[in-house]
Amino acid sequence: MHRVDPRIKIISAALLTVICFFLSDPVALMVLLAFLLVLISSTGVSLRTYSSSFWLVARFSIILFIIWPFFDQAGSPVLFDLVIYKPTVPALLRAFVISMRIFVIASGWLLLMLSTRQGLLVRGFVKLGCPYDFGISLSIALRYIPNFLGTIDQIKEAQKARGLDTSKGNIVGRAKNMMPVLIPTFAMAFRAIEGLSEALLSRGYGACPNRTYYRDIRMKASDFATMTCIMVAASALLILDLSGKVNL
Amino acid sequence: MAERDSTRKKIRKPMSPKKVAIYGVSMALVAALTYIGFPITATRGYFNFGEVAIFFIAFMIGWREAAICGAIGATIIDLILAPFFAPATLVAKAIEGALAGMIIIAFINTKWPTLVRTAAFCAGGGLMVATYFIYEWLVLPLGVFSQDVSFYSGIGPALAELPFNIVQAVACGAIAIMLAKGIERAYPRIADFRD
Repeated sequence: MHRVDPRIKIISAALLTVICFFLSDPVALMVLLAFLLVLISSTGVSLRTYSSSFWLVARFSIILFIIWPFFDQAGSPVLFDLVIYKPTVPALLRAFVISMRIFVIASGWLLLMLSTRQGLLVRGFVKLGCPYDFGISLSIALRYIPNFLGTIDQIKEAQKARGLDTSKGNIVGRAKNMMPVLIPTFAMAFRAIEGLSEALLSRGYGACPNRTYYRDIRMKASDFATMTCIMVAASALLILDLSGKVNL
Repeated sequence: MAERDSTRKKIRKPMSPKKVAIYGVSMALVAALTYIGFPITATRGYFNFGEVAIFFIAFMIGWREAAICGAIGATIIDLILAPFFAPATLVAKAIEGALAGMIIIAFINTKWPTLVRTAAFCAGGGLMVATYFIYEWLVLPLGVFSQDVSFYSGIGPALAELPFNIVQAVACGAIAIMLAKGIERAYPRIADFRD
């Protein structure tokens, strides 16, 4: 997966998201999820990284699965009757389809993020027609995110040493307590903008509007084959789902 | 001559280095503040400060920056933490930043900046909440509605998230207003960054 052209991976993830909104067959979605999990395991990413992302997705899916029957009580048989909560088998099946859909979309994008280096991801977006200026902005953003997270942690520790407590109180109170952390963070961000713009200017950024690339990405025969396979699989899934649609 | 004009049109004028730096750092700021936050035990949700950065950029820099940096910055984090929300985040944050920024620009010479900022975050935040609500209600369950299953069936999960999203927008808007005042005092050169 790491060797596949980033453009193919970006297009596939976007295509997968669109297709997921049309698929309503639980079996098709489960097959798709199993296929994606196999691909994710082939990236060699540790299970810990993967499970931390999946825990949030699972939590949302479980909440959705529990809440859904409150408003959807169509169909029979009714599993149990708690006056306002009457989960029926078809309603739970619909909730399951949406939960699966969430898992498939999440897996598709996680696969892209876990198997593509930042630089290649940005270059892929630029090659797909995104302006170069936004490409470089995105690179800067990806480069600065860990910096800002580190800075915020440092400021938080420093303010805690001065007596700040951000762990007590209600939501508004706790959010308000973050003010002494947020003001220095924003001031540092604007200083970073000044420094960075000077650095870009001194390196002649924008002097030549026609950009050339030292290392360019090119589509290989294997990339075209991957793209064809994805297109065929996506079309087959859609046709199968639309023709033999499960009556939810 | 006409040929030369068409060639000129094809070459897009690059952004200024300052603009590139503003976009890059602002995106990173939105992403970092979306990442930090604290869990809310009552709703099992997660309060983050991403909205603070979006409103702040809308108040102090411009609507384009708020829309683009808000959308991309928040989507970067969503792609890692909750990728199924990424399409909604991209649209919701872009609308939020754009609307809040446009209201600020429309009343730029006002005598009541706090009132205008409040109106801006209410309008932007309101649209953000509405976008997430519609996404969770109608877009995520797309395809499961039929003659027997009404559109109201999918409203449950969307209603469960609604109060949390409202609290998030209001609290972040209020913090952004206080922050804008604080930064204007602590860092007066911020005025040079306005679009």
